[in-house]
Amino acid sequence: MAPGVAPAPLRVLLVLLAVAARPAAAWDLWALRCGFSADCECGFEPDLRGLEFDLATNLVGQPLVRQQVMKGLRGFLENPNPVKPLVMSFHGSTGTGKTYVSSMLIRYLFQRGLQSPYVHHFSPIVHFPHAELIEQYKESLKRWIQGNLTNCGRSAFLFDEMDKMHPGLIDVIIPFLGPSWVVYGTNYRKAIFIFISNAGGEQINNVTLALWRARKDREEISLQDLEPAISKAVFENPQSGFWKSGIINEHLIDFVVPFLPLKHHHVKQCVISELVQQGLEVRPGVVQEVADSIPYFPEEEKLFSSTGCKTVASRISFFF
Amino acid sequence: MKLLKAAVIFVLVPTLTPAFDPLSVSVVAGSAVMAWHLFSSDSWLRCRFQECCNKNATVNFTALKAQLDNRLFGQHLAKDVVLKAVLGFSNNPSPKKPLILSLHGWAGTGKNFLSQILAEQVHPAGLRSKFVHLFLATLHFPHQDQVKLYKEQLQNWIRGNVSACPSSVFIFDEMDKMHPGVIDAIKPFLDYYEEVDGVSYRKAIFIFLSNAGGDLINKAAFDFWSSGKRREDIQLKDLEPLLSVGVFNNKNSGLWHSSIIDRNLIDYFVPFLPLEQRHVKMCVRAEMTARGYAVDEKIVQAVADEMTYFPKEQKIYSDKGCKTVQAKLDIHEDFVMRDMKARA
Repeated sequence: MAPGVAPAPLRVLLVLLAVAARPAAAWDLWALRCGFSADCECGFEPDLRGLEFDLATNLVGQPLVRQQVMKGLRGFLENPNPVKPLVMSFHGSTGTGKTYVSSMLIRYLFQRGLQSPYVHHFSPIVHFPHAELIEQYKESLKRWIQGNLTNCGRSAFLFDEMDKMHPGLIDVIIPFLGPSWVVYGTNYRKAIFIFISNAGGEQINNVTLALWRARKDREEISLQDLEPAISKAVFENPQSGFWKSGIINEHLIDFVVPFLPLKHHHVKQCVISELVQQGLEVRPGVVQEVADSIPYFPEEEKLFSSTGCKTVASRISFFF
Repeated sequence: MKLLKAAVIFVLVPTLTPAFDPLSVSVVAGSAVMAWHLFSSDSWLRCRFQECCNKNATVNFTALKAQLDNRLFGQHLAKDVVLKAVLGFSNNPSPKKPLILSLHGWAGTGKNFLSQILAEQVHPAGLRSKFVHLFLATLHFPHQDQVKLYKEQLQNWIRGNVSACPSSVFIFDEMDKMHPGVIDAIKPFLDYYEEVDGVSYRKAIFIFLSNAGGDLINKAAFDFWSSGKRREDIQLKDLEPLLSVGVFNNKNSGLWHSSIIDRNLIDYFVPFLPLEQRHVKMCVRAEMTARGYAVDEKIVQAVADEMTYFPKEQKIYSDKGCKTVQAKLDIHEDFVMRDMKARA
């Protein structure tokens, strides 16, 4: 055999390797491009009009929410070079629609919704259960966020049950919320952070009740009525994840979104939309019975539902 | 489709391998296919020999109703609620959260029995099914100082089993003896999330059994009886608010100040009324029929008379529900047998 000429089987192997390597190299370069370029989209396909329409049709009784969410998102997405990541904080009592709105948001922003690998959902009971491991959690959380932001600038991070989070844990992500520096060509400022908690819910309920007694319209409730009470309650509650947190101190939250308690007719709307979604006939008698079976507060006036729209779906089966 | 695949394999493979004789190729190909089917989950062959998860678990309404009517006595409320709840849940193509039932009542009124009947309808093997899990607070979570370990293990167990079979059933017994807070560990799985860490819990069923609130229910039933109303007139709305508050504030209930009630994740509170003497008699008759004997009214009356009743003066409701009926029946049958032998 002549030197310099590879034997036949080796030649075949080399040819096969070359054939396989070309698409692999192309894919790799494509992936790298996503890491280097500033306008990598990572399955990010915002549909703001669709979101607004969905909010208007399906979100019941929350005029402030729609206003704040659309304002926040529009301002953030229209700017190709945002100054800081979008940070929103949802506050309200149970059943008012916080998880519903956050998942709706994600569905209209990312192609695969909550299943998208660029959307990260954290729940302290599942992900940070033990108080004594808090240092470990801090380290892991920081690395996770840093890694994912480097991988895809348009990531979304949802922090649920903030009132059950250990105080101090959340401070580890403060650098990522502010107008931080740009590393390796990745733009950290395009991320979206959403905090969901029940903290401040009582204060919101009290303010709404007071305004109702003063005969003000629900649509007239403005953010200025609610925001100071929420911030104070959240910052000073030792159980809250935000207790004495730098996030509130340094005003890193762009939009505080308050969720008002729901009234009787809002609950009826929830029942109707659930019936429609399940494909069942909308009977007014059933709607009335289900809405009546839910407990209301306060004791005398019985205005607002204690559980929002939760358990409405299951009660339908009972009364239908 | 499967026949087509089989035909393709049996015809094409031998023709494409002329080096070997068609018979051995068919045998090899056939056994390869069978082995592949046996080892992959959910294949029709494997499901004949082993239990498979029924991914589209719809409960048969008529079967469930028949079972409840024939086997559960004196619980018109519980039957009604459970039938509607389970039916609505299984007919809903995309439920927003898992079904959570909380069964409350005095001992012996039929809580475990009902949960067994329910589990049988969802997974035919009932409590022995791989996909039905029963947790007893005093057995599985006995030590107060190991609560953290229990929380983690419980989370892992539930997560693992629901990812294997989305329509798993979890029954938690003796909730009034559970350490408050153990149940809080699984709260995220019971909530209105699409999925948690990639696993969707929306098709699972969670059943909590406890004696807490039993005294409240008994009192309410007794008030009904004292005011001359019929037992069948008791409605859920008479009892539900009592239960919700009484269980929530009762330190021994295991759900005490639990975020599960706080967040209103429990779909239905199912009350079990205390059993009257006529219901105890029904239990005795059913037991005698189950053993294959003819129903002798004298024995039935004797067994029913031996049970203790409360309250002291009126003696309406059985203290232990239908518990110890079988043991008492054993004794009476013994007497009858000896009697018959003596006469013969």
